Amino acid sequence: MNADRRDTPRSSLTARLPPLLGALLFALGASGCVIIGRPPTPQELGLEPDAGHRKAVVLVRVLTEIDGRPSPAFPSAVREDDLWLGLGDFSSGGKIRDAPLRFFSRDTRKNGWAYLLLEPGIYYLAPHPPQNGDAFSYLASWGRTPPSWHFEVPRGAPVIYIGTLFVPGTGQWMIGGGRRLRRFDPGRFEIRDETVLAEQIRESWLKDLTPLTSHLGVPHSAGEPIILETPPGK
Amino acid sequence: MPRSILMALLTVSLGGCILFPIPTPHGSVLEGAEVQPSHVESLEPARTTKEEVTRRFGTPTIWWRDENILAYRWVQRKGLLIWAVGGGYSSAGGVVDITAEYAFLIKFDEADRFRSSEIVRKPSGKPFGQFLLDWRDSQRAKEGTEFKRP
Repeated sequence: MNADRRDTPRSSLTARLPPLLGALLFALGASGCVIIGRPPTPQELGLEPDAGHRKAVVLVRVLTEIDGRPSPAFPSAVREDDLWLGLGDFSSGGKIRDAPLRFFSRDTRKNGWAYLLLEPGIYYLAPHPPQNGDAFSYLASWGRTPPSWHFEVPRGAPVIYIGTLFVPGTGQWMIGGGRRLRRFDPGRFEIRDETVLAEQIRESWLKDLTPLTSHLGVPHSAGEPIILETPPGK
Repeated sequence: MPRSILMALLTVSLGGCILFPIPTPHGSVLEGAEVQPSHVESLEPARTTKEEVTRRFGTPTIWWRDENILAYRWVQRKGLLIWAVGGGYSSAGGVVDITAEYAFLIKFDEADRFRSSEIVRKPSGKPFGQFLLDWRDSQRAKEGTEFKRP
């Protein structure tokens, strides 16, 4: 009798798991977090012909090291748990906010590849560490993040590559094991040119969008003014 | 009602959140450098150059290139918000700043000579870009009105 009573809830939970997982995956997909396993369509990219290619696919790769050991930049695709990129644009007056990063697949994500859909203009970029304290402090820290690089999205370019950002730092042990990035070492930041690899990503995931052009980010120092340009149509 | 649901409801009802704002009338500048209205009075339309402005006020925060507008931006503390959240056996709390954002906006002509300027408080919640666009449009409207005057 007792065994039956114990088994019943377990079976019920097992039966409920697939729909729950399905709903979770649907929610993740619907929120635009991750597109896994197939190339995104031009409609998903906002690049359908009648939009006149106003936006460009902006490819970026992020490499990191925690205490000298290579570590994937985006292990989970969750902003609070991963190193994330911040983006400043005309709307924010160049201030860094969390970037709407997208990923082609789990493999490309774990290799540090991400992309953004951006209108022509001047943009500012900075890495941001995962959430290591309370939510208020985490959210406030975005506003205090200075831009590390700037880059330009030219008009009429369907795909651009802005470089491979190397952003090492120091970490801390997590209760569940492993080390998590806590603080960057901005003195070691680099921007590397991996145009050949970016071209392979374009060929695999964005076959219909050509050509890819490289517009590597340029280091931005604290004393420089933020340069803005009026967004198209404004 | 099953005991577990009752316990869950009890836990939720015992949890709480406190937000306690304290205003600070002329709080310290947290970011950027404040521009006083008295400093702006000496700017002369069609005479003061952009170079003179940057010499006097320093490097601007923003240069809106195609509109030839400079912006000096600063954030001032307007108050403090003390917060506390508790529930079950855990709690958290802290103090965060309540802020207001200002900008000294200066428009130059094609020859980099001063045209108009204003110190404006950015409405909270409005994106900075929209704030800039609105100011540009208001200046254009003013110039249009002045042009039509006999």
